[in-house]
Amino acid sequence: MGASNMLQIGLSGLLGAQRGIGTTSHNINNINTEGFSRQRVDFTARAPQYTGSTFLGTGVEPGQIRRIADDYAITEMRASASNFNQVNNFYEKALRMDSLLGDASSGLASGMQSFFGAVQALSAQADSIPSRQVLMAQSSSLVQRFQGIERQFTQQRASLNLELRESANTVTSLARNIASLNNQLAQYTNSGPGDLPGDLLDKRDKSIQELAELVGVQVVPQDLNQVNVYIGNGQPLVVGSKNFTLSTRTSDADPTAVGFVLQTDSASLDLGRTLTGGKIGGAIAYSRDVLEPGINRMGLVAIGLANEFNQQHALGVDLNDQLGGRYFTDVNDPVIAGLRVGGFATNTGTATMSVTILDTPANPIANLTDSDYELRYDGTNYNLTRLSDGNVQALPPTFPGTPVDIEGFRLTVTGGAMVSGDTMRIQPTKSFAGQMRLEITDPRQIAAASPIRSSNAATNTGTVLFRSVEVMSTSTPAFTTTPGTLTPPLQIRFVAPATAATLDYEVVDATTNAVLGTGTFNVGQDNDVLSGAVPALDVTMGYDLKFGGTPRIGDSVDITYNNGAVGDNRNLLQLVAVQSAEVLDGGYANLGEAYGTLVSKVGSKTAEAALNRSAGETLLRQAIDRRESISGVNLDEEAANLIKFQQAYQASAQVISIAGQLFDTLISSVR
Amino acid sequence: MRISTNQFRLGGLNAMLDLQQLLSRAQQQVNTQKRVSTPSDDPVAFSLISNYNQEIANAERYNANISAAESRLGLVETSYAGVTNIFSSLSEVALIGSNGALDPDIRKTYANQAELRLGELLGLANIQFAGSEYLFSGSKTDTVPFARAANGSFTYNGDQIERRLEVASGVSMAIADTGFEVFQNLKNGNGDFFAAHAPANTGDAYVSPGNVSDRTSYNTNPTDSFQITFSAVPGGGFTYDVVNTTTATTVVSAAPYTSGSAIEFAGRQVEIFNTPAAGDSFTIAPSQPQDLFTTVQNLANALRLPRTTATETAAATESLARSITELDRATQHIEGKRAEIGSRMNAIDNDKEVNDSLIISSKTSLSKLEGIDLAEAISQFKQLETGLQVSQQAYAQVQNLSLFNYL
Repeated sequence: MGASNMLQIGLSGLLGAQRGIGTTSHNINNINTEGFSRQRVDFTARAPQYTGSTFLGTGVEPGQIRRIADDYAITEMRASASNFNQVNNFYEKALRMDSLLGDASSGLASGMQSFFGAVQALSAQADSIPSRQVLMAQSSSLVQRFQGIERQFTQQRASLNLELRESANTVTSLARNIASLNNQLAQYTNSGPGDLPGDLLDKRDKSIQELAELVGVQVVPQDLNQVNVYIGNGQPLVVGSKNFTLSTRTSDADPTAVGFVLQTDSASLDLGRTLTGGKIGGAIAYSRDVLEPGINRMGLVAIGLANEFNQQHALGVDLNDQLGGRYFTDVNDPVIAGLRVGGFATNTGTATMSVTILDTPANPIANLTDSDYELRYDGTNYNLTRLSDGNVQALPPTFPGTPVDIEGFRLTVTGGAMVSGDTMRIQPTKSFAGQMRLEITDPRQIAAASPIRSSNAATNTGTVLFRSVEVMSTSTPAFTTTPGTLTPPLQIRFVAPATAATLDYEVVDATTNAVLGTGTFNVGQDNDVLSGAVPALDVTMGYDLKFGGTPRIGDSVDITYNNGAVGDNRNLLQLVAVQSAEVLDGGYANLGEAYGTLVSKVGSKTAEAALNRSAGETLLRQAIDRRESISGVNLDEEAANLIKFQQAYQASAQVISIAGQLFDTLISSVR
Repeated sequence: MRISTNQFRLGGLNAMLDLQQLLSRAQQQVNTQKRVSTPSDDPVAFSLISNYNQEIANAERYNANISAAESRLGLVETSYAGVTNIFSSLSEVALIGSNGALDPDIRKTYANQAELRLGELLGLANIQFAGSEYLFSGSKTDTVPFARAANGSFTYNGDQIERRLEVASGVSMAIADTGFEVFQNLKNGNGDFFAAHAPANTGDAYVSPGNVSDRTSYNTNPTDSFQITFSAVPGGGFTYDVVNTTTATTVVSAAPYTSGSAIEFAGRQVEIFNTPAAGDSFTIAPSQPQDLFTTVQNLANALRLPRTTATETAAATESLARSITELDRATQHIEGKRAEIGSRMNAIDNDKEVNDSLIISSKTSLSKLEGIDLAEAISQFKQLETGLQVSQQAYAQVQNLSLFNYL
């Protein structure tokens, strides 16, 4: 063995230590590089030299620089990131709505309370203009709350659309990165068996990780160290060194929503809103589970309020002795009714339709749901799908010729016709919370009084007790023939024959004195005097009268229009009752409860999301931990390595130096 | 397990972030003293909280209505007390005035006094709440309920709509009475019939207001009128016939007359005093509506009636006796109304108590649901604060540990 051999060995050690120091420095300096995996140099002994009798060592071979990584840990981190970002995005969006709806100053519950409180307060002093102004102010503040919440919903919808569009752009650019890294890695692999650049693999993993934060991905390893990336239900996003483009476009079904489109070489795949996982999945789930049902439910509550309050308000008389006008916007305003139905962008037919809210005994407003519907025409049948649960019903063959009554609403074709394959989107309750306005402008227009006055004749000798009047409709001829008077005014006259328990009475047209009908009055009981004399006279007239007491023959009661009854609060008491009337959700919920359903739904969705979020966060942290524990840089370890390689370097240098001395000794001895 | 440097940092950092989150939540709870401030804090509790809040608000609204009702009912009560006073003093006036020996001038001053009282009565009937709301005009609260017409009669300009307020869930209470019911809808005479002498009588007999002696018999023809006619009996004394003038049938025929003894027919009973002239008659007609003001006016008129002849004195005595009956009935009527107001005020007091205890129990449940145990919350807050400080110290110390420090 010669000194030159020693020099070679020393040199190999020197180079090996240098490479070790280099790799350690690389590790130390990338300590804060996201996605970086620590690297190690594998040292091997060089092939020995056979001297004929033995093998002589030839030094160290500074082998591959190995990237310390574990595919399983990386895959797990990806999946956890998708999951966490999905629930986190959902949670953050839901939390905003949660605090909005529950807040006393912006939520509807306290607004509704103040509004009906003002109605109640006015009932103590129905003629007070200041109290009427308070009610007007509370009414417009209630309308503003509806609009405020609706605006929050629609703003969330708009920003969600924007978020989806930007996410699609980011997904595409990440896909481009991955494809390009795939390409580089394939080239290195093709260029021969050798080391793979760990930093490139890290970069690709980091891009895939970022992609997974946006949307759920499936990663499938391919030859040449490439990976394919799929999103959704196996739609390809990256295939080898090729990537496809994800973009958004306005949904066919709903012009206010965007859906995803994946443009591949061969086709344009309409993904709509089917993507799951990541921020995109969270946004889609939020929109589907909270936002859209929320908008619909706010609309349902607004429709319930406007419909019930308007109906009762119309049954009263205001300070100007006129029948109550529209208090809130008419739920069946023709323009609004038309906005509730829209054709798909793909439709080829010309049909336009409208949806009017029904509140008939056969189809009460309680039947109205907060779901959207889709009406599809297949050339023979019109099939209506309720989107909340997918229930499909075929419309009767009379449609579209005759309007069809569905759950609490009537669908009318207002023009054109559907052709086979057309679909209409029907949104009965959407947007009304934003469309509703306060219609009355003058506090005198609040219809506090009942339109019916009953006056006992001063000459009565018996006792006629006026029990109640229930006004059912003010659109009957009795009220409409001459506004401000009852046509005809009625007189109830008590006539013979009489017994101790009963006497007869006549219902008389007070203008012509014509007897409309005769009935029997039960003394001491409550008697429906109109329908008791002429069947359904109460329906014809639009009001129902109840009398009790002990009338005597010759007694009479005049029924007239209630002019000048400024302190009459009877209609206000009925308006107060609108608050507690269980008219919505199948007749089991009053207005507050129907809104409460929304609040508690958003509340429990948010609470659920909070739980999911913290579980997801724990899983993500564990996955990050696992990867860090395998691939992360430990500075103490690197410092130790640094010392180790420094010492090795010094030792190898010493070897060279000794080899030099040996050479010198040899030279000097021959000199 | 191998730990990377970043893991050290992240572990410490995450611990601090988590603690900060808990700390901010605890701080919020201590600040608001509420456990539940958004629906997601506890969806079930939140919906219960909304219900309780609504119940409290409703009960408070009912209490506001109750105080509105109480203040009106109080004024109504005051008015009725005044009316009762007026009628008791008028009853005195009528009794003194009916003393035949009274000096005519003094009787006239009593008549004037009665008329003054009439003005007071009108004032009480036209009483206003808060200076703007007429309490006795039904729902026409802006209309003066009673006015004197040019012909001296009194008209009611209100209506017969009773104003009610909700004082508890589903319970409404009348907050005033209509003037029709209180001041107007009374009857003259004894309330069933009106007994009077015929204007053409020449004797000095007069009739008492009478009463119904047999209600069943009376009820068979309550709206019929009768006439009692006297005939002289040769040799002194009188007999009387009673004719139902509505059906033109004679009910009593030639009954002997004794001054002051009861004359009974068709369930009705009157007494006739003194000596009639032959042919004198008395009518018994069904009572007609008469308002309280006319009742008082009639008293004043009766006190002013001339008493120069025996016939005139008889007429004046009869009128005063009738006025006394009418005043009694008016007093009873008002006392009845007053008692009704009293029971209404009792009822709303009860309602108020129920509302108040509902408010208290709802608030108790509410604080159990949304409130926090402050001591516990503060100790938890302190604990978290200490935890965070410890985490921060540990983090700083761990970050100082590095082999590089020794190189």
